[in-house]
Amino acid sequence: MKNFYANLFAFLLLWVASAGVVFYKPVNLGLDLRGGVSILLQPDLSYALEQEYQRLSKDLYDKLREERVPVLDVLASKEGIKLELLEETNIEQVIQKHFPRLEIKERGKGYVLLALKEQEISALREGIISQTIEVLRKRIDELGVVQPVITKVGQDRVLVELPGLLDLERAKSVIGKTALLELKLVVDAGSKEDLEKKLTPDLELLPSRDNTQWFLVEKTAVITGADLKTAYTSQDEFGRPAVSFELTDETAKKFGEATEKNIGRALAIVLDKKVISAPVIRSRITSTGQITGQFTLDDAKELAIVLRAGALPTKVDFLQESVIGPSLGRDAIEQGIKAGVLGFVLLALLLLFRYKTAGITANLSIILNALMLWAGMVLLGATLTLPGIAGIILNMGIAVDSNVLIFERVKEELRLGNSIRKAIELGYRRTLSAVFDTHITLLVAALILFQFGSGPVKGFATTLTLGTIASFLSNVYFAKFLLELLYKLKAFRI
Amino acid sequence: MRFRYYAYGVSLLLLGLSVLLLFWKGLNLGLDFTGGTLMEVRFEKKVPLGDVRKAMETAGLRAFQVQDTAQGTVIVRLKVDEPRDKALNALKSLGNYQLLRVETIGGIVSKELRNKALWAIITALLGILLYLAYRFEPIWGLGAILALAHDVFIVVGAYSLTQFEVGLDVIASLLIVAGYSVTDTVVVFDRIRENLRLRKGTDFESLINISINQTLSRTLMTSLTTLVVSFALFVLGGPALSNVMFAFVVGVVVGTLSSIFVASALVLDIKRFFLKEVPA
Repeated sequence: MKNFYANLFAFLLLWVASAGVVFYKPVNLGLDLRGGVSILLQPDLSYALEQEYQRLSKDLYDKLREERVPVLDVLASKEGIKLELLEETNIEQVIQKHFPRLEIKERGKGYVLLALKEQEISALREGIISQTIEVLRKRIDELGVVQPVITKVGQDRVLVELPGLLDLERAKSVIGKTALLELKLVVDAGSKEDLEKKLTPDLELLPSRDNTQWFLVEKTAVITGADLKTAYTSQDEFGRPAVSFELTDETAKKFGEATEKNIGRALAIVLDKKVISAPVIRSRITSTGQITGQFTLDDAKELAIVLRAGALPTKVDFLQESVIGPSLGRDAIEQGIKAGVLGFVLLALLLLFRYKTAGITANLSIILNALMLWAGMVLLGATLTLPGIAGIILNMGIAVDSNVLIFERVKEELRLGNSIRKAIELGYRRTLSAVFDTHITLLVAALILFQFGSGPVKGFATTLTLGTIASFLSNVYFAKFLLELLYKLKAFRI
Repeated sequence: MRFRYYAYGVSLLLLGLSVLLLFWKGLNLGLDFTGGTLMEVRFEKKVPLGDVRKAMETAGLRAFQVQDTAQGTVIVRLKVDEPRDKALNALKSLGNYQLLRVETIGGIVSKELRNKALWAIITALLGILLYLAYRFEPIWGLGAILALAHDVFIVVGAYSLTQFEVGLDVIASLLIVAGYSVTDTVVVFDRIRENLRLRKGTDFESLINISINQTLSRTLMTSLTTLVVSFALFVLGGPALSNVMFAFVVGVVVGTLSSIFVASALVLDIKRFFLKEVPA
């Protein structure tokens, strides 16, 4: 008897609590329901590795000369640093002492291949991912997107979700630009063939944005994007859109000296290895400068944003991208509600027809179940997607199974001549193991779906998992209690 | 149980048909698995599909498909590496439209998803098998898993027949159908086990018959409840959901039939075949 009132209390409390949560806060809608842009990207690790090896090879070369190790050539690639040696030289000690991050990967006739140690590579990868996420977050904040999602997916990927945004190309150009800005002194300009002949190790050959002109510039940049304090759109002397920047105080001094020394020479403004323009230095420049080129206003705005947010550590590849218009999601929600209502009405009629008053309790638990499921989603901050809606509605049909199981057994026990009380008791007890089974097999299947990562399918897995748990709780605790309640109210018909 | 050979016949026929269909028509794989680009637009003024096709060709696109939907929208699919902006420009030249969605999936991801989907199906089946083996004797587990594989295969055949698109969401739905339909079988098995205890001396075949009959109304009822909601979703849920729910509509029907006619019968025959005896 005591148990009965405790159950009644818990049952009512669960209704109030679930309903409270549901009304208190709306559930998160997935991109497929809200509309927006979603991009899965992968920072190019091999490119970053090559850059890292290039940096290291310079230091290595200097160090080896200092230590008087005869080296013919130092070649950096994404595989590592290849040292061409004159003779069998013992370079292990130098490497171990001065370059502990490197190890000898391969040793052949007249050469040694050095590469970063495994843990160094994964540290580099981690660093690149977190830096990419940080830079993207800054850029996206500047775009003014509400509630963007920028998360690491798997080991080396980043998922960007921008609700409400519909312009995929614009999103891609803001996100995908490495935006490595370098200001480099020009040595010569002309055709590619001519300049190639003059190429030396500390110079590099860069094309203009439209690939028509080529510039021979110094490899070492005077300043880079990292030295910028801020950047904003402005106009050049002809009123065309341009981007102005301000330098930090330390670099302003350095820049001032460099420009003073090189008055009359051209300074190439290089963005992502393309020369945007190469104006001639006319006077000492200190804290501010302007980047001009054939920009549209949108281009200039975008450039200002990416310069402010900083450069990505390496270029990124787009693996997957989508835009969903807002109308598609609205339609889907509307259709989902219609289907849900129809499904519930049919289900309710079916249960009432077959189980009479017991059908009422089954219908009550369907509603409670849906409420609990929804409340669970709100509390966990889970995201509702289109397949997720299907999961919720489907759950109504599946959750009621345990009720059916119990009811059928109760009917059977009644036919065998048991009293109502006894039949309820037996019907509940003898079906318990089957109730366990149904929930566990469903849970196994739903959990396997989580490996598909983010996106719509995860939403399906979420609603099904939560729904199965809710149904398990409500069936184990309340199915018997509700039948007893009917019996007490003298309304038990099955 | 006497009818089990008819049931086997029907099952084998359906399985055979599914195999034939898979070879003959194949599956209409979704973007998740093929990679490429899908765009859906709604033109302000209706544009004939032929014009859309022509505009695409003029724009220099080769590997594409154009299709209209019941909702009055136009869907354009491009193979991996076909330029998306060209296609969008081609559409623009045909008149004003509302862009409903654009999705692009690269070759790497689609290949991964294919593998993942395959693994998901295998691990799900294995997981269920392990669970059944733990709950029952291995032979029972085998009977259930064979019945389950049979259900899944027939559902796949139905997708081949109707050429509904098979994306990741359909695979997800297929897994849930599998998890769901095995429970019907488990309930029957549970009852057989209970009867084995209660009715010692009855021969195994009649035991199975009795158990199936005892659970019949329950099996039909639970299937009906699920069928009702999945049917509602199939009819009213809009194109994306009805695509997914088709697996449930077919799966629940086939699963119910197989748990009544196939699963226990298989256990009986496997026992007879391997053990040369039938436990009473």
